[in-house]
Order: sequence, then C-alpha cells, then structure tokens
Amino acid sequence: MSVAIQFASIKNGDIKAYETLFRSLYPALCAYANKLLNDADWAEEMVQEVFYLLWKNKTQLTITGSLNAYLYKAVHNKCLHLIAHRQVKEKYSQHQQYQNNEVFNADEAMHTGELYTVYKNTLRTLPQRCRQIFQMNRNYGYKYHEIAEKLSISVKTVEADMGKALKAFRQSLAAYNAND
Amino acid sequence: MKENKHIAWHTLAKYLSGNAPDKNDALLADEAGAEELAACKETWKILNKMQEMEQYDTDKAWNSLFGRLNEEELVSGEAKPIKRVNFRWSYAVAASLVLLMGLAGFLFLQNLQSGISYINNNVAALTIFLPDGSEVSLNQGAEVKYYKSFGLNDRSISLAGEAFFRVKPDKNLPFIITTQQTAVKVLGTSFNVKSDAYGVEVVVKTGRVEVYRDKNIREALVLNPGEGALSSGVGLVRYQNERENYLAWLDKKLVFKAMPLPQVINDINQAYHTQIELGNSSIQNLVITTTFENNSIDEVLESIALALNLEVEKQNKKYLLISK
Repeated sequence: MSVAIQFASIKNGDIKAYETLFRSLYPALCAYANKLLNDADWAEEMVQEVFYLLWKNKTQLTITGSLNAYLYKAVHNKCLHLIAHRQVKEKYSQHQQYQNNEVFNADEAMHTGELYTVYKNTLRTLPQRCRQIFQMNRNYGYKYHEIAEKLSISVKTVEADMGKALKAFRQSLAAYNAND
Repeated sequence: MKENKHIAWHTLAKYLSGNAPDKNDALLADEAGAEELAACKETWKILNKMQEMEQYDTDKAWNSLFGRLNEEELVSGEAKPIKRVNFRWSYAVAASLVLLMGLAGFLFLQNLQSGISYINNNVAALTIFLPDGSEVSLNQGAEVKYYKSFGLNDRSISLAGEAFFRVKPDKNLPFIITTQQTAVKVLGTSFNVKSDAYGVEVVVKTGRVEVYRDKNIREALVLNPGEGALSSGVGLVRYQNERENYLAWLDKKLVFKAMPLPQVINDINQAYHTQIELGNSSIQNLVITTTFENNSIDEVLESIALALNLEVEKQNKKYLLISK
C-alpha cells in the first residue's frame, strides 16, 4: 500500500525515487502542516522546503528508521519553527495553545497519506458519471436536485450513483483496514 | 465487513450528504443496522478529510520544486533531461511599461516575465506537466517556453521542434501555442505540432483546434480530428491526415498497410531517430503490411528483413537493408 522508498536510493541521487516519494506524500504532509499552521499556502511552502532540504543535504544526512516518519517529523519541526518566529503573526495567538498540546503522531499522519492513496484509487475506478455526481456533491456542495437539473437526469439516478460511490469507498477502506 | 446483509447504500448516502431531512440516526440504524451506520459515518468523515487534501496540487508543487533544484544545479548527470533558463522581455518594453504602471506594477510584471524553458536533449520523448495540468511530450530537440504569467489571462507557450499536447479543457483560458510563424489556439484537446525550417504542421487527434498564421486571426482554420494543417511560405493549407504513424515518435506504434519500403524506412527513421538506408535500388518496389507496438529498433528491422527476405547490416549508428 505505502510506497517503500529507501533513503539509500535518494542518497545515491535517484531523482525518480525522490519524485515518487514526493508525489506519494505531498497532499498528506500538506494537510498535516495545515493542521498546525491553519494556512494552506504556508503549509505547502513548508512541505516543499523539507523536500528541498532532503535532496540538497542528502549526502550529509543520516536517517535511521522510516523515511516517512523522518519527513513528518521534519515538517512538524518546520511548522513549529515558523510559528515560534511569528511569521504567521495574525494566526499566532490562536494557535499558541494548540502548539503546546499538539503531540507528534507520525503513525496517524502516515495513515492519512495511505488513506489518500486509497481514496484517489477508488475515485479513479468509479464509473465516470458516478464520479462526476459524487464530486459535484462532495467537492462543490451541489444538492441532489441541483445535480439532477444540471446533468438532465432524475434525482433517483443521483441517489443511486451516490449510493454506489459510498459503497465503493466503504469497501475499499474496509479492505485497507483489513490488510493494515 | 459483512456481505450477507442487503444494505441500502443510496439511503445511507442520501442521509450522510444531508439530502434526507426526514431521516435521523435512529431510523437509519433501524434500516441499515447500527454497526453499518457507524462504519459509513466513519467512511464519510474520512472522505471529507480526503476532499480537503485535494486542494494541494502535487503536479504543480513538483514542477516548482524540481525547477528550484534544477536552477541551483542540484540535479545532475543523466537524470537531467530538463534545462531551465531565465529569459526576459527587452528592458525597453519593460521601461515603457514602468511609465504606465509605476514601480509596483513593474516589479509584479518582472516577476511574471521570468520564464521557464524545457529542452529535450534525449532520444526518448520527455513529458512535462504545465501548471494547469496540461501535458506536453517533447520529441528529441524540441523546446517549449512559458512565462510565469501562464494561466493568468490565457495559457501561452512557445514551441520549437515537435511536440504532442494534451490540453486540459478550460473555456476561460485559451491555450495558445506560438511557433516562429504560426499560432495554434485550443480550448482542450490533443494534437501534434511540428515546427522546423520548412514550416509548421499541426495534426489533430481529439477535439477541435484553431490554427492561424502570423498571429493573424482572420486567416484561421478550424481543424477536426484526423485533419492536419501545414503552414509554410505559401500560406496555410488544410489536409486530411493519412499518415497513420505521425505519433510513432511518442507511442512507438507503427502501422504499415501495403506501404512501399522507402516510406516504411522513412517512418521508422522518424520514430526511432535512426539512419536506415536501402542498399540496392531493386528493393525499392517491395511493399509490406504489418504493425509494430513498442518493439526495439532491432526487433522491427529483423522482422521486416525476415518478411521481405533481406539482410540487415549494422554500421555504427547506421543500418543498411540489402537483398540476400
């Protein structure tokens, strides 16, 4: 399920391995950083910075244990550093409390990354109309009758396709949990 | 997960998405079972979280990160098919704009004017992602450039050489490709553009493409799938594309239907960047019907030689086909 990229291949300058690692973890790391910063732009900035430094310093770095865990920890530290330097001034006060209570949990964060892969793969396997209806409802907030109107189909069809989507996600997540 | 019970998925989905105001937890627990309702609620919670994550554009972020590494020359050796250079409009133009816009505008503009350029120096096609998610595959020697303003008012990109485009549909942001003398404007489609010293050739695979010359929109042609246009010194000409192998440089798929050998060799040379020649004129009239998909150049030539009773001689990078 998860991509097992070894740090050794990145240390050897394997840009493909590095790209694979980046692509598999980027959204999850951003979501994690955003939880700490409450600012999506800064979250992306921090995650890219961590990956930039990983590649730049790859020869000097020693990483024992999981590379994923290292990256989450690095993003975590970067974000706390940013907060400490008050660079997100207006957001600082409300997050000071949160920062102190936030316990780093690499397992939970990595789990999020794997779930995202399951989600994306399931989305890809849905029939096209079913996917479109699901995304109109979930991503853009259209009501059932609005979707029916826009696509010139019946509300019953929307209901059926939404049910189909829920079933697909419920089953793929159950399968993921069973294998975990 | 239990499969034995019939679960009313559509009822659950309708309830969870807030489209069933007449239902409540107790009713649903009755209909689907308390356990299943809880599991679906958990699934829905995860889906909400995943949808939040979709805002992070991995392609765009990767391009930006890779560009930064490349600019600082941190990507080295064979793994560096991409060259990134900065280029700017002439300062004369910029200066005249300063008068109009003031300094803040100038700084903004200067930032937008820094450009990104990709050149493919390898035999293998190089596919890059543009910030809007469109894809460009570059043939050997091809180069594309775009400015940071890409995607602001339109999606403008310049091309030298041959490339295949898969453009993400966006009605509000026309995708415009400029070559030395021709501009191609599309709304979302796929097509091949080849520009060389002789002119520019556009062949459409899917969708509709507008082609115009010398940036003169009045001379435009609208092409449909299967159609091509050739823009050269004598003007802009539409034609029905009958060359099945125009994309072989990218997909390595070759189709020959009773095709004379010289033409076959020409298509193979273009697809594989090879130099194959015919040893004696007596074999020029041979024709062949066959298809290849993802074969190596040696496999292709061996198979043709076998079918036509020829011999392949390999000399450095050149191949010679001769009769036995």
